[in-house]
Amino acid sequence: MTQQTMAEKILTTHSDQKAVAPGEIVEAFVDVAMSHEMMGTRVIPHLEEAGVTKVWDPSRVVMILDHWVPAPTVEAATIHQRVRNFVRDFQIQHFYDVGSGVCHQILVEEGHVRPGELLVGTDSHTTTGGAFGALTTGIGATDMAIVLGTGRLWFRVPDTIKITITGKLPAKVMGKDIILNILYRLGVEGASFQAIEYHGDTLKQLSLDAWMTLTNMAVEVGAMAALIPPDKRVLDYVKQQTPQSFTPVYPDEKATYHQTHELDVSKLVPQVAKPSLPSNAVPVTEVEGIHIDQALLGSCTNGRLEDLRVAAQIVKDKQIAKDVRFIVNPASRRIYLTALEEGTIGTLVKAGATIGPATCGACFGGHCGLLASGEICISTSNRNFPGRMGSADSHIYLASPATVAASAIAGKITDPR
Amino acid sequence: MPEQRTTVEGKAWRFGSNISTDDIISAAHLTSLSIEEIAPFAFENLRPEFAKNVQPNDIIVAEENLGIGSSRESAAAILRSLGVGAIIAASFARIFFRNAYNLGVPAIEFPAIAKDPNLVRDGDRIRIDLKEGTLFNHRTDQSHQITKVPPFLIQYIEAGGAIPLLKQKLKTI
Repeated sequence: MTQQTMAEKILTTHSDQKAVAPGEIVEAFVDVAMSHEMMGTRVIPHLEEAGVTKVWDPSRVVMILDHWVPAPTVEAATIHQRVRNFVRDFQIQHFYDVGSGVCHQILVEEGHVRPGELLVGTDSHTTTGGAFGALTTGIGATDMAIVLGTGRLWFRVPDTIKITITGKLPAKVMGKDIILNILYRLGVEGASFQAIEYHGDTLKQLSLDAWMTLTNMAVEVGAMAALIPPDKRVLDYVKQQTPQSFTPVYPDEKATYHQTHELDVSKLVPQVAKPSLPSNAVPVTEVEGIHIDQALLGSCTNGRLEDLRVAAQIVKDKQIAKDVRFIVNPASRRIYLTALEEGTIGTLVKAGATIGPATCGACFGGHCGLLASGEICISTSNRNFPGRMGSADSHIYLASPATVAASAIAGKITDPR
Repeated sequence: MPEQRTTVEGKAWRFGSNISTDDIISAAHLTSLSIEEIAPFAFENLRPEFAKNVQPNDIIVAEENLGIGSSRESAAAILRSLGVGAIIAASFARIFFRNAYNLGVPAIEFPAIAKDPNLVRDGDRIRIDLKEGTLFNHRTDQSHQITKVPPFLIQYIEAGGAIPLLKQKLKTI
């Protein structure tokens, strides 16, 4: 038997081929297709041009409004209206309207990401779902039109990079610090066109929330996808979310990896990625004291329950600095509600946080907390490119929820430990 | 859609490494339903003169990791809309690469440009042949090897993108 990595196995089971190998072009059958506002702007015109009048399988299509929500402009409202009309006219069976949450979070919470399956989405951070043992990858609008019309898409079978994470993660050091450190080591092209597979004992200590942070920012390393062999927690979680059956895949013992990396996190310190690349990570101690204007806690990278709780613990009974805006966007309504009911939201609000909706909002520079010229933001999000969150000469530092919360209190970049 | 040529000649517009899709088109413009309407904002912070002066068949020549970041197809779409004939870079980010071919714009790797950025300078007149995998620079009178576009992707260029191909395919199923 050919020995395969997880990505190779999933592309094999989703194609007509007996066994696929890296470099080959395969046409794969897609299990789930997800789109958001990009459907309304760019995919619908492609469908019209191609003459697609029905989607291949409306039960496998998921539409989520999450970027410009609630609509900040008439243009955005019009896009939402087009998506709702599409959902109605094409009888799309899974639609999550304004306020439901950020697409990558919703896909997981609603059981659309299942181990062993192939999912595509019109968003680069679709890699997130790989934390649940699926091959999940980002595509553009034309690719989505092809998938909606045919249920298939071509892929070049990626090489796989194995990253083994070992050691006990120190207190106040989080999954985000691990991925920022991986970015520092591998660079923004380190896994270009490739798949990442995460292994190692540390994974057992990390929450599934943290797993999702590791797979989410794999795209920042250039990866097509990032996968983690599913453990019992993952299998139990997915079974709770969906009655649909699935077949998990695991890598073969003698699978061939293009590269292997080992990372001992037992001495890892909180990381901060300086402007303007996510790979510009340095220990927080090197940037401590830099004044901030805004602190953002949220996004598909770090808007989950664990993230909100860690932040709340740090700001509890304290006040954020007078000249700082602390913006919090829970990643989904479900997270928002749990955080509200257990008091986490209350703690954040008492400290001076502004709770925004479950939206991608400020992270991609859409709305809900943009930056003026010269301003500095420390953010739990995933990209710090020039102008990403507003003015072209604003500056973004990427960090963990713990570091962002500690910085919001101090008004400057601060070591959370 | 008319059949596209597999040679392109035009003026080179030079860019550096890690040019993101945010650099190509900022999120501030992405709620527009019209690509033509937002095309004037291509590279608005990096090279505000680009959209005004770019001519049909001009060629983008960048270094490492062109198109890093968001999956927004609008980044490749506005370049097509402005008439860009080809996009060359030492390397590409994956989704941007796919988007370019899907829209019928060739994206071709030219690894040597990362080591010697002077092989092509801003404003040089260059000619590329997709099938041969060559780049000729009129200024230096030199020919360089670029990655040959495989037949699988040539069909996207010849058809003018993936949508015309999808149209044909849907007729047969």
